[in-house]
Amino acid sequence: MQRAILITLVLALLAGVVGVLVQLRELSFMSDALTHTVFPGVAIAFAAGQSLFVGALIAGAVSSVLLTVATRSKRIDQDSFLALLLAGLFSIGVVVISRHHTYSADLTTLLFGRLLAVDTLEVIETAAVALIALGVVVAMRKELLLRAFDEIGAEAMGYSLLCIDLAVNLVVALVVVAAARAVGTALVVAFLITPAATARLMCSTLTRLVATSVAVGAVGAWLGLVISYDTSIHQGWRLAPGATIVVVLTAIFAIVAMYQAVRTRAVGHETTSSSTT
Amino acid sequence: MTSALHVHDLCVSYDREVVLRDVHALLQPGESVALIGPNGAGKSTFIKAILGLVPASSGYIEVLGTTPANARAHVAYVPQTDHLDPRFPVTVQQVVLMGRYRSIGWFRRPAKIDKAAAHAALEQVGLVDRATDTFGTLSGGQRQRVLIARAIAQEARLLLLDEPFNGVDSVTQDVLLDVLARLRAEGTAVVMATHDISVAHLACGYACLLNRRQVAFGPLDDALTADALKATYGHHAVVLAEGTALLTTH
Repeated sequence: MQRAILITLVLALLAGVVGVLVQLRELSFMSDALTHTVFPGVAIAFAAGQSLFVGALIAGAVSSVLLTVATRSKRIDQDSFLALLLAGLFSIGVVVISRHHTYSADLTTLLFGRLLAVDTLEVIETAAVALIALGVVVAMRKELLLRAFDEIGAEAMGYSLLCIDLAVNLVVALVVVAAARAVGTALVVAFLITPAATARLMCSTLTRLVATSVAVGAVGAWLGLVISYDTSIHQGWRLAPGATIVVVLTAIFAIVAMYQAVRTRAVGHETTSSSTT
Repeated sequence: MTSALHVHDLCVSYDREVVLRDVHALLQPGESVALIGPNGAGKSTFIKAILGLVPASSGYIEVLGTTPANARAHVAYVPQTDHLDPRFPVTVQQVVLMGRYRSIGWFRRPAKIDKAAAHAALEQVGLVDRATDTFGTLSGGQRQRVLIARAIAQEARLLLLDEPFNGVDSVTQDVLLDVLARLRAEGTAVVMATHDISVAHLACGYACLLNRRQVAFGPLDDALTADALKATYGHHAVVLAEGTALLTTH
């Protein structure tokens, strides 16, 4: 349980920061595509008895380059291409896994993770990947900010958008690699998007946005893990920890969204009342 | 003295369709030219060609004595504000600091000198008291001033502006005219796309009339003739008197 808490806190920090970048760049679909294109790497490594971590890294790197080049091309319909790549590569992963006699259990593990069964080596590998990804984001933070805010301005200043976009996609791929074994490739995108989307409802400055996104991710992850573990021990209910975390994060988003909607309406009524008196 | 901009027989095509041709221009440091023409005339294309963002299919462009790509560090581009997301969580000061990024370099943080340059630029446009406000909370005219401040902070030798006076209030117009005059006096050359001839008279010494080809280039009074305006705007140009033109639509 301690290792599970540690790995989810590391992922909350990583996904909290990178999730803000994904949100500002409107890369949610791209991120979802990456979670699917990493899957065949994980599946092939699993089937071959090799390190899932290395399989995911290779698939993540290849996918990032492919998706970056495709989305920068003016000749390709990007939306269709992403969907095609996502479905195609994901299916390759499923086909590879389906050759195993323990197909269902293996697929479940790869898609939804095995958070409570992570070992020390996996925690260290995840932390190392998180460090690299966060290091890239911190080192390039001003270029990433400029590119997200003003694409034309960035290009006019002489920045290679291809290089910046490749760096972003590689960072997202690293998040997928880091989170794949703990929460599974199917749920990584929720981990990446939901805390940042929640923070966006509350914050209008970048520093607060990142801090809130990390905080929401950490609280949601911890709460989801505790609920999953506690109900398993005391109620006898088996709740998948990765999925429970995502449910908790989604619930937090829904609560904050409703609160903001009510608050906005209340402020609107006050303004209308004061202008008519 | 190296010219700020030297264009010879420039032709630009997109997917084999010629969108701009026969462009000649020579601009020295401290001079300013208004790119005048209707929508779709090629003003933005010309600006992109100067930035090296679109290739010339024939002819050449020399910017500050070198190729457009090599000159970018010394060229500041001020886009229209409407393509920027007003909800983006960035402060006014952060936007202005972006003008210093190239000189700061990759992986390095802004230093005190960069923050001082950003502060000075905001002072010039009269927005230093809004430095910590979110960019999107400013009015359209104020946002335009912030982008001008970003260009000032960049300390560029050539300034490219895309319709900077579009929809701005009179305060912003006065501030922009004042800033442009100061920059020209310091030796910065200015290329400004506009469809507003009265603004061209106030801000520029030269005019380049475009309508998918160059109609005229030269000192304002020489270029803005009745015939040139008719060739540029067609029947939408009504020339009143003494070079003042009324455009019925553009």
